[in-house]
Amino acid sequence: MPSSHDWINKPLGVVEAMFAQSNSNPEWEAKVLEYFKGQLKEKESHSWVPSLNDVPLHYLKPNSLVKFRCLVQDMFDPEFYMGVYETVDPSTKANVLRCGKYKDVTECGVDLNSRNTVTAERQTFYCVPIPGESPWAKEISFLSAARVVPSTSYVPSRQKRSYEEDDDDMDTQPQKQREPHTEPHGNGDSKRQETEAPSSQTTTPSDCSSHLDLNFPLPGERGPACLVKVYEGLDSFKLNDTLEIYGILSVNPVLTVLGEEKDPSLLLLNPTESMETPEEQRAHDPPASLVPRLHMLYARPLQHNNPLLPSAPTEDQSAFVSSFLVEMASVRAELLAYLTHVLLGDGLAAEYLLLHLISDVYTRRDVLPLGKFTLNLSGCPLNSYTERLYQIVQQLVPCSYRLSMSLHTMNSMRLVPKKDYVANRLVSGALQLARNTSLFLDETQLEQGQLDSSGVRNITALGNLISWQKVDYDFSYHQMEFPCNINVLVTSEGRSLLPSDCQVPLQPQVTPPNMEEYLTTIHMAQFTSQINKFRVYLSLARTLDYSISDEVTKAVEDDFVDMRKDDPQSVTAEDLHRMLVVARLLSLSLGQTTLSRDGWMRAKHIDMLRRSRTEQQKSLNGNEP
Amino acid sequence: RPRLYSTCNIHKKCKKFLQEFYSEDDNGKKVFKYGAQLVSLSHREQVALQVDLDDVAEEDPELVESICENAKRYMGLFADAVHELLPEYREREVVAKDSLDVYIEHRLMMEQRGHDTADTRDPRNQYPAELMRRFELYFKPPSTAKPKVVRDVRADSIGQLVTVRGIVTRATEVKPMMAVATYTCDQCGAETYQPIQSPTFMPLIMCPSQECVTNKSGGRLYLQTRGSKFVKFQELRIQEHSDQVPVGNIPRSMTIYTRGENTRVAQPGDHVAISGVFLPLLRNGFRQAVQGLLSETYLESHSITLMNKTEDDELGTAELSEEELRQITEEDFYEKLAGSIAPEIFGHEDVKKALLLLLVGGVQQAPKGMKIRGNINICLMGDPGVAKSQLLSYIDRLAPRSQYTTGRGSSGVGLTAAVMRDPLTGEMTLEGGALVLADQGVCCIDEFDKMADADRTAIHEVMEQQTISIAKAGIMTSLNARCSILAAANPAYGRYNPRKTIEQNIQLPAALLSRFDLLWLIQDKPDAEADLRLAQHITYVHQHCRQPPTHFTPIDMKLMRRYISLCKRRQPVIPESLADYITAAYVEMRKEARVSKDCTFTSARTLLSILRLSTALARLRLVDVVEKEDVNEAMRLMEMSKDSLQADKSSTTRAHRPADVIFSLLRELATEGVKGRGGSGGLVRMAEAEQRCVSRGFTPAQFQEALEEYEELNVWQVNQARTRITFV
Repeated sequence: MPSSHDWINKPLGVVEAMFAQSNSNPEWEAKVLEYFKGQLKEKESHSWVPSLNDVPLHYLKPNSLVKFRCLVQDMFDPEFYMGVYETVDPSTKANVLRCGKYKDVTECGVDLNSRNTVTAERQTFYCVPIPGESPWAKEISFLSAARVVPSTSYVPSRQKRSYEEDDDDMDTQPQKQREPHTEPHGNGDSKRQETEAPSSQTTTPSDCSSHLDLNFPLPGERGPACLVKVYEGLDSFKLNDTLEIYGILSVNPVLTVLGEEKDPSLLLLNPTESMETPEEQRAHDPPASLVPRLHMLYARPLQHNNPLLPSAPTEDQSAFVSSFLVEMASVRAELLAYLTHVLLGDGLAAEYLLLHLISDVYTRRDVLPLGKFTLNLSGCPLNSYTERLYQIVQQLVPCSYRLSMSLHTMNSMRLVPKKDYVANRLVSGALQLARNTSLFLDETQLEQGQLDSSGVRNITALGNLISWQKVDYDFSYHQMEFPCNINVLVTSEGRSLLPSDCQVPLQPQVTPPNMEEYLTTIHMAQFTSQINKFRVYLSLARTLDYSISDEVTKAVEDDFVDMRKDDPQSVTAEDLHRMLVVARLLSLSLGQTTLSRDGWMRAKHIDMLRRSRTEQQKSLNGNEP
Repeated sequence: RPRLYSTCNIHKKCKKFLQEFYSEDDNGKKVFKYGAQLVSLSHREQVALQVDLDDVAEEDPELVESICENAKRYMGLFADAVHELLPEYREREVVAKDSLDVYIEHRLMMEQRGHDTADTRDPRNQYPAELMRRFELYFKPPSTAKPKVVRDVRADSIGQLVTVRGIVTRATEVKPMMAVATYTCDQCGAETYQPIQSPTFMPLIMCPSQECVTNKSGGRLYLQTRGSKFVKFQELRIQEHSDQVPVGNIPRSMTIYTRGENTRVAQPGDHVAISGVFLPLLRNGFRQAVQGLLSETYLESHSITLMNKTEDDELGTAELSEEELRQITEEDFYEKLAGSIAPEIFGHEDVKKALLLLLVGGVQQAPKGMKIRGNINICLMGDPGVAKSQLLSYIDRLAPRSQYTTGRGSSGVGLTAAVMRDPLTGEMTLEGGALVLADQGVCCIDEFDKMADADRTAIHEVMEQQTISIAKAGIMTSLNARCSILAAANPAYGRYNPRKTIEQNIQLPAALLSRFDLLWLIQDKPDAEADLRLAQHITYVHQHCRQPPTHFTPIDMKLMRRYISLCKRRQPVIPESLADYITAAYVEMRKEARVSKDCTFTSARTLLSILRLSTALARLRLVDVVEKEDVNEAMRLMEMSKDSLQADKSSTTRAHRPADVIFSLLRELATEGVKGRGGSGGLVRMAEAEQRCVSRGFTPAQFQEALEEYEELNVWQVNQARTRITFV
């Protein structure tokens, strides 16, 4: 059925046909968008569209419709282009009106002085794949995409190839040099590791960055970056939004030539020519073969990037949610048991870890973010326990990153994005993350020594992130505050030097002789279906609505006053804030969308347990402040 | 659409405007604003002529509209008019300023002398106008035009005169750009001119003169640098201010071309307002063919104004509207304003009032060269976790000019000023620290107590004299640091111990503490009613995901800022009649302080503080005379701040028996003695002890009583001569 897939293979044809029919009635633009939206609404139709995340660029057909799951890393200045222009046919000398939308390059014979030319505005976003996307999430979305017969855009024989092979194949292509491909922390999937390990040695990061820095927030990331041209709804997009973009792929080699053409002799007489520095050129017009252009037709904001969950809020999803709600309590119990094993038999810590994993900044008032729940897991055993713990967390959440807080990394790593005025772009940092990314700060790696000024800045940035859920991007002349929504988990030996919403000292009940083996056995004991259930559970619990009735509010208030009466130092306003968050998360984790009296008592109870434990710890360690 | 004028018509209009526009000065004499400038232009004493469109609007408002719509064209027309008028305004022979002047003069003379050429046109028109003109013409946009935000300058603004604000992020070097190329032919010697409009041009090669063409001699043209005209050219890049950017967006930038007199005005980091014409950049050749779809844009600058900081300027321009004023000056405006400070922090009304006064500031007095600061310094103390830092950071955001720093993170040098060696030139330069940068503003110092002693001394000078003296590396100077200091400190032992003095609690020297007008202790005291309100507040936030409705809506931060700047313009005075009242009150306070066991200091500084606070209160009410209520409120705040430092009433009364206090005093004396004399432990001289007690407001009788009482208890022994007390 080739004709039915024209909108995927030749979207520009569709656009042009609609333009021709319109007789320059401006409504045609809305019609085009409607059409593509309608096509994508159809069942499964969006899975026919090949994804830039999964298919190597050179297998995609230029000027076809593709999709891209990404994070908006930078927004360039708007550019003006000819929305409508006139061409002169050399043979017939007839003037033809043409549409310049969704295109980078014009046909020959443009009449530049035509009165019919319409100048329009579009903006370019620099988009990168979602940073820290877990391997399992990539894999599942790849497999589900390959399940449906894709459009004719790539060779049929490739369709049945497995993900691993595909990966392998890509690495042998010359394009591999585009990205330092390192996997510093292995993932649980050993098979994947094997296939990728050699490639990490073949390319070193240094030779790559000198060539072209694709500006990924996290080191060791890979995947295509993309310049997305946005035509409609410019105000609805924000930096760091995660989007699934449907657009027309443009890889015209002419775009590359542009960057290279530069005659030094011209510069002499023409000072304006030097307006763009070479760095700027490189950042804004990278070769199209490395950074393809994507002309956006439709973009869907992603609430989460968990491929196991229906992503759009349709009837599908509500049906899915209600069916899962029934299971919720049992899945929670299983997950809790699993986490308890992982945390060496410490049930309370497991409970808190579970709450942490479903926490979410649901709103903010002025500067106060509500719902953040940073967990400090202190008393972690040394010797790669934290590393293994991270791998387990990574297996559960769709996005995560482990920042090992060693002195060297704190001093040398760039955490806060910084505006580079020479290249006129936002140089990314490790804290430029998508919403609900799990940031795993490993403080056990910290040793004694000197922090230099950038190290101090990095620590301050982490502190701000935890306390206010914001990152102050460095714009040289001033700083700009970007709100974020990142789940921070700090593992440390003693109390962390970073602030946290709640600290849980780990009290291991078992001391396995071989930690590595112990954790691997636990991990292996879980079936994939089981793990998948956990994954769905964690993502779903976060999306549920929640409310507190007036009655319960009253009870909580009275309770607070009573507690203060007994011992005013025991409960502060901070504590009440935290307990309300714990109560919220506790209720949600059980699938309850309102706070009950019981829920409040439970929250109070586990918080008491936790506090008595920290008190105990304090008295053990002497009088630490 | 504005009516289209014919070019000739407008040309006349321009000329008429330039010749006839005048304003009347104080004596009713006509001042020809542009006429005078034309004179200096013709004498080459002035280069740039700025046509104020407000002036044009007086004559012809419609013309202004068309100028704003199509500024480039009208610029040319006005320039032509000026060019024609200039010879009429020349009053004397002009001394040539540079080689191009000589060149032009020479050509004009040649033209007049040599009648051999057939044409009889006006001699000046022989040469391209651009070559002959030595002036520059710019428009100043009408004051009614609002400055735009960079992101609002869109495709529909192309060709228009717009004003944008921003911060300069990049400035290229100033380069010469060719405006007119002059060639000479190697065969016939004729000169050919080529005016250049676009960034690139194709040089002429063949001589187009009559002689060469008819003779077919194939004369080659050579570029003549001295006869060509160059203009200074600089490219700037500006970026939006952070407050103009919607949340979650990247600030946008814009390219600015500056020429001639507008170059070298701004440097990277400057806040500027630039008005100019928004134009597309025409590319030609290959680049255009490929990039055909795209056009770059730039702003051709007409005027560049430097600004201090965004807010400062914005505040000045827009007067508060009637409605806004009414919104503020309602019945309980004082409470309302105070409540609008950090609305997310619950309670602490009096602290917020004090902070409001800090923002407004008192009036600076300078009687006979002595300077008495008007800025109010406040120190917040309190147990950890009582929102001190939040208050600080809110004030930091609210104040138009402020610096935020922490005592732990900054050294004395970081606060005051440092002498740095420039790595490039090796020159010594002075770099201001936080206190200098906060000049005329607020300097918020968190964790004041964590600061090293040496660093803290640097602040002494700032807090009273409002200057910083530097004597380092051959640089001796005094920098202004007229800032209010808002400090936050934690108690020394984790929690504030009400039984100890402030010095012991905060471990700050008295000299420093006395420089704060208000010391505030924020304590977490149990109080069922307050607790309930706090609980309600927090649960409401969690229940409804927003702030609970208060009896007022907090005033918008921007409005606050503008109101405060309005207040600051007032200079209220204290009337004679109040002087007695204040003195009496002060004497009363002194007396009280002497009698009660007071942990703060009531000194002349206290009196000054009261004056500062009451003038600040008068400012807040936008009046010019301080009233009795202001003084009362100032004293009430003082009293409240002292009260907050006072320990719980119940516990103090218990410890307040004179004998016990005297005992603790002697005890202190004894331990001091140990330290001082190196361990002749527990010995206090009687005279010393008595003196200490009397100075603390005890009668000698009380002292004797206590002495006997404790002697009976066998705590200490008094020797026979009753000169020494020995602790047992």
